[in-house]
Amino acid sequence: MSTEQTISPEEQSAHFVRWLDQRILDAGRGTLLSESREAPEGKFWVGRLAPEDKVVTNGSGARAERLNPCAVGLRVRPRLPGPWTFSVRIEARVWRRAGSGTAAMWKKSPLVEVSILIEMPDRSYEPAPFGQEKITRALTDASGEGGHAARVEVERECGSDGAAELTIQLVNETPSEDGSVSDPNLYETSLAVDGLTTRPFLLDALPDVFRYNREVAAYGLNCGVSSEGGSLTTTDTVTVETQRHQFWWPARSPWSLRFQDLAKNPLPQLKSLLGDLEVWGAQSWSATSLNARAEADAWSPEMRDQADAEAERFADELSRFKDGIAALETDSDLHQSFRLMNSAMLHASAGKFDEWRPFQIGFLVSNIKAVGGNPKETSVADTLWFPTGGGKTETYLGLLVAAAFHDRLQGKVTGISAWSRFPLRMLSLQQTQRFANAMAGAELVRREHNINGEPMSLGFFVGTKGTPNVIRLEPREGEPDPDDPAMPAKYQVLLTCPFCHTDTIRMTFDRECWRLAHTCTNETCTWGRAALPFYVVDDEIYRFLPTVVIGTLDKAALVAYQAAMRGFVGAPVGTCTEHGHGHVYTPRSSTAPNGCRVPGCPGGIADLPMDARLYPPSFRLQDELHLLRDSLGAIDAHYESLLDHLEEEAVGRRPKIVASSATLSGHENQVATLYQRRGRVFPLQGPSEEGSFWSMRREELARRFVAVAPRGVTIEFAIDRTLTELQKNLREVAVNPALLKQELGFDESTTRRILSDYGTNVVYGNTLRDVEAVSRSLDTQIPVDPLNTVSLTGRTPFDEVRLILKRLESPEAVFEERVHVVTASSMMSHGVDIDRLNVMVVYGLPLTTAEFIQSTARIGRRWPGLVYVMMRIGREREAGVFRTFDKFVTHGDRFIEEVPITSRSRNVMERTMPGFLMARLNQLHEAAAGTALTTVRKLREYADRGGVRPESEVQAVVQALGLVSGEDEDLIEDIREWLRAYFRNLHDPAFVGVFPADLCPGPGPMMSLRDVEETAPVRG
Amino acid sequence: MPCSKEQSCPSGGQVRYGPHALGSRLDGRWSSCPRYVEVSLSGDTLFPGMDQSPDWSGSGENGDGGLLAHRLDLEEEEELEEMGPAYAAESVCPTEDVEAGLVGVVVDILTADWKRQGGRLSVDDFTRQVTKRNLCATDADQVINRLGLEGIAIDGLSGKSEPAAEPIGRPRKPRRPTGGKDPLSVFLCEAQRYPLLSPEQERNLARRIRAAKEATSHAKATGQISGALAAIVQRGEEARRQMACSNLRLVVHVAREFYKPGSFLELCDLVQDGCVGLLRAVDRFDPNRGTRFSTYAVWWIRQRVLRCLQNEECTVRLPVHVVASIQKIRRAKRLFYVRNGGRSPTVHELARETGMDPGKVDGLLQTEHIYTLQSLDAPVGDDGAGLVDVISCPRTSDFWAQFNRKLLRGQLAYLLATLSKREASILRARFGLGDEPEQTLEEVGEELGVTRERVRQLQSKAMERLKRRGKRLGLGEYLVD
Repeated sequence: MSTEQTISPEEQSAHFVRWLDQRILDAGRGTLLSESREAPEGKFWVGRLAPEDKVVTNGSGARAERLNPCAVGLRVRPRLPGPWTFSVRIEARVWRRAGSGTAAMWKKSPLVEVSILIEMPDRSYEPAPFGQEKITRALTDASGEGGHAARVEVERECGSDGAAELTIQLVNETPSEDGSVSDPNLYETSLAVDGLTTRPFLLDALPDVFRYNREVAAYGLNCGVSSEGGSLTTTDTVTVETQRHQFWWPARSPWSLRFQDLAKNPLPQLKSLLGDLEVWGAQSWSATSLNARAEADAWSPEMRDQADAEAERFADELSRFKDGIAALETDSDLHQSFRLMNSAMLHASAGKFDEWRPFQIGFLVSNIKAVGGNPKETSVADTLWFPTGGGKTETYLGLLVAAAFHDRLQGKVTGISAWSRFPLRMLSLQQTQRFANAMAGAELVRREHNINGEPMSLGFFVGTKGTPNVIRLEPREGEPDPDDPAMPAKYQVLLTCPFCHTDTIRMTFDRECWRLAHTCTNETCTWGRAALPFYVVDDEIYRFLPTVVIGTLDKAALVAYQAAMRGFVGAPVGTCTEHGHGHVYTPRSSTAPNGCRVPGCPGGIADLPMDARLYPPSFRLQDELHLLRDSLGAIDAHYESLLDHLEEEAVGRRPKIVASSATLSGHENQVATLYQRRGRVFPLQGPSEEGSFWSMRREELARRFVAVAPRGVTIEFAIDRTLTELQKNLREVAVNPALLKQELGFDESTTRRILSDYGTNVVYGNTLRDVEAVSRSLDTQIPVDPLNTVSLTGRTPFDEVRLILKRLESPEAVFEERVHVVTASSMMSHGVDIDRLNVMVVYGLPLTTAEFIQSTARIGRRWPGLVYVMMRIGREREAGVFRTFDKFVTHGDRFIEEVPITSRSRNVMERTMPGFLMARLNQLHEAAAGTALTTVRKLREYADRGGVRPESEVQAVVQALGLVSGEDEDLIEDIREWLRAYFRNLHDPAFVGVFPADLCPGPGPMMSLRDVEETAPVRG
Repeated sequence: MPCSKEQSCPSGGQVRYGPHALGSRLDGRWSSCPRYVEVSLSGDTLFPGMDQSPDWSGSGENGDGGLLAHRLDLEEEEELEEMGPAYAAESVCPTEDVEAGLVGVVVDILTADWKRQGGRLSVDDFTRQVTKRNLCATDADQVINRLGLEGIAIDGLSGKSEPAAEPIGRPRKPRRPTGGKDPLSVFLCEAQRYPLLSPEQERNLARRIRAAKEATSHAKATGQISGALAAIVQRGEEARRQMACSNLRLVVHVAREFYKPGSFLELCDLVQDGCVGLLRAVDRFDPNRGTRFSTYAVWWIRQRVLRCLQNEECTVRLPVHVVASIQKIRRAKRLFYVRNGGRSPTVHELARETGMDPGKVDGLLQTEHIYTLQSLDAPVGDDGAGLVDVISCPRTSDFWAQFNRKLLRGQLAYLLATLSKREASILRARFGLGDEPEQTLEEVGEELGVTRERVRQLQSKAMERLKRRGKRLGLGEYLVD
């Protein structure tokens, strides 16, 4: 073992992770015990073999075999034709009871090791038993009881390509019923095959296959297989280690991507980078290099074609990067925006990092033309695809900040420059903080360079469970009360001041300007004592139209019933003459009689400070694009079209769409469906598993995945025991720091760090029910005290999430007081970035590969992580993944299921149609009418004047959705029929509804994009 | 029929209403005139107490004038307070330090409101803060003064600005009653002049009322009132009137629930008592609870209407607690009957069921008959016979005995009249005829101024004479019995 002087902290952590895993495995097998008061059958969850007769007589068949296997072994492809001669070495132990009743004690036998020479004929397809007597005798000798029996069974099979395959297993044939032995199970079993030359299996040819190593040395049967020096040995768990990526091409020339340098003059650095990229491309994607690989890896012609197609895409990526540099050279505004953005990012990084990674700068430069509003660019949706933890957020933050500066330079002094959406109910507070830091950096730079306009600001646009939609003078039930002195603190979103990076945020409510304000109490803060340019109340976002708005996707539904959403697709009516009241919209008699949304405002309407066409955002961002699927994706597709349509009608252009995604399966179809744009991904993957110019694999351990198939016990039991052992080991380290000194050579400070980094374990459940089950069993089934647990699910209140995250990030000084276990659901699988979370137990394989990747990426972000994936081995899918767990982890991205999505659904159309019409009425017709269209009477008058007609509405909707006459006739007819019914109601003098939404023939506009369930009326 | 119900109230608690509801049928025939007092809704006459400063002290008696003269059972009202959502809010006068801080906070808030609203501050802005923060009148006065020092005037309070507070819902012009000229139609027609209130208007009025209540208490306690506080009281009076007038229709609505056509009490009577409940609700409504006024007021109106029924509907008025006990016994009786296969309970069994003393139960069972009183003249059958004609009388002989006694008394008087005055008075005194007790020979002698012997002689002679005359009159028949 290396000592701490010679190895890095990361390596120390990697050693610890392996050490800890071994301890858990030992506990699971019972390796370190020689006697026990508890029956071993109910104690150990791996390494054991049940008696064969018990499995054979069980009615569940193969499922019973997986749940409590009686055999363990492997399957190989011999390189040479038979007959085959090789040796098999088996190991096992048995447990024997001594005494009875309460005085009973279980004792473990010595290790039974038996080597058997196998001579397998080629012709026989029958299973052949070997070494029965020898093994049985050895077991009897060891246990002293007699009755235990086992055999090695070899079976010759025929593979899919006709080649011979051998299945070699150790089978426990101890009779379970005759009572001759106190425990018929075999423990700590393993089987090793020596002297058999094999050739690997080849995984099926999936798309993109040329990049991957498809070889599998042997398949484990109820276990994993390790291959070492020509010997194949079974393992009780399947362990896979992934490596960290490095973002710098090792052979690069000495160029720098430091913010500071790029802020001065970026072009020389970028050109050097381009030069290296070209060199790497020539090496990796050239025909010569691809030919060499094709020959070495025996590529099929299809694989070779795929590689050629990918090489062309690389050439395209390279040319876009070149174009970006050229644009920076020729367009001075772009150049200045880019430089200012780098200065802003320097501040935003708060000293944590001071340079870009090449892929980040690659994306920024390739998309810089979109910042300039190039129409060609807006017709393409660009997706940033990168492993989690690579710095995606900073990348598109850089793009947004550059866009904000460019807008300011073009005379856009206020208004939204970018609207960034997250698909989940709740947005990560950490991510929000990063956005705020970037905008604060931009503001400081704006001031420094005397750039005209409102302060660079950020809006936090989420549902009422997070922050209020409005603060009323007379609040309704459940709404925030402006007179309640404790109210502002409930809505604190930022944890630290984005300007001075100190923990000095205080929440206040400014009655004069009617603003819920984050203020910084730090005397030396560069921003000062005024409210930070950060808005969390929807109403304030409408009033001030912050430079960047981040929020949940659901908020798009507001466009149908909130007239003040006009700032997101067009321009407001004007600004209020009163200072600090912001923009005004169409007056509403009860809430905003003069159009200003500040209660009691006596002001009037002043002109807009800039050209109305500059108002709408030039960027719309979508994080976690892969989550927009199924019904949510279909509905969002319509709302995206609606937003584009409204903006196009209002100002004659569409925004640029930028997305980030964890999956590329079906990306093009998904983007085309959602945005009616061509999809493009950056960066392109490299030609091999080793990575690309932007990201290369290195030696350092990233995560150690351990797949566990519990044998003979429930998954819940295995989870409880695993957590117990994890916590016991950590407590042992806490109490006795010398343990790690002795075992791993760590000094006390390293032990303290290790204890902090690995002391909090996460249990990830796929459903809320699973999470709750784990939470319950934590209270009773984990015999360690104290055990502090917290839960992070969609049901955890917003402010509690904030407190938990804070507590996890800055743990208590004493180990006993810290959080020990976090139970989490999918709410955690996006956007929670805490370096201290490095051990995770996954309760059953998540339903999608994407979720598996996302959830396990929450740990091991900074230090090597340890992930236990507890398989529900009775399920076919999980059993299948368990068999190929190695490839499942290393080829994870390729296993991701294609995103199912369509926008041509008549049911979806029925739900989104009210939104289309209401949005057009609120955002377009109201502006044209010059008066509110909030009641049926007013709308009827407007329609009578010819302002709105069914035919023109049909045309508009069809055009917005890109429907094609003839092809989508059913949908078009549905739209026509719906609008006919709507206008029939409008002109029906007996109609009793008051509001235009009441006229809808079916349900009204959607309140949320998840509002897709059919509602059933309940009558009492 | 159960005489009280449980229902969850809007605030989530369990509210028992109608604890002493007149659940039993109102039997009997009542012929008295309806107890109707004509009221005018022009304002002052409806709320006579409004002419003076209304009584905000809580009992609600002084200020309610004639209409509120009905005495409420205070104990029961307290019970209703407890049963309903805890609407009552106590004004808290904090310690001096806190007080100074709180006044400062409110001044700051109102200053910000004033600035935001372009240099205007309404009385509702002011009362919102005062009532939400439970400021006492002294603090409220301080707030006004400090605002004044800052040059901030509250519209309608400070006197500098125009005096009228913002009216909420002006009454419409009077209309001719559409449903006829009966008192209820007139009442409804007048009530409809007052527009219904929006939640916000209700809240503002209620706050004005509460602020005025606090100011009045303060004035009573200290014996003085500042100009600003007097203005608050005035706004409160106006608000109280407005709140009540705008909810008169609710009273009619609630009273209808309890009205039984043909009963002794007319609907107008119930409405009248319901109005008393409405006024009580107006005084006690807490706007900070988040409920609509009607949700709160309906309990008070019901309570008052029920009380009216309990007090006025029965010939013999029983105290409310007796009514409650009787209802308890009836309920127990009914349940026992059902549970025990149709057997009626004994007094002891009822006592056990109700937890009352058997003697009390027996007494209440006797009292219960009050509810079953019938007129003897109540017609039975078609032949015009009254109840009196069909009721049997088991003690008829007594009647004849009384008759005979009366007859005998008359004949005796006649016989005595045949004697001299002195003889007659001697016999009356000796045998105690008439109202006087019997006297001895000596006492009579003293009275007449003669000896005892002489009295005996005179008595003897008179008796002889009576015997003879009595035989002639046939008085011997009396001796047969």
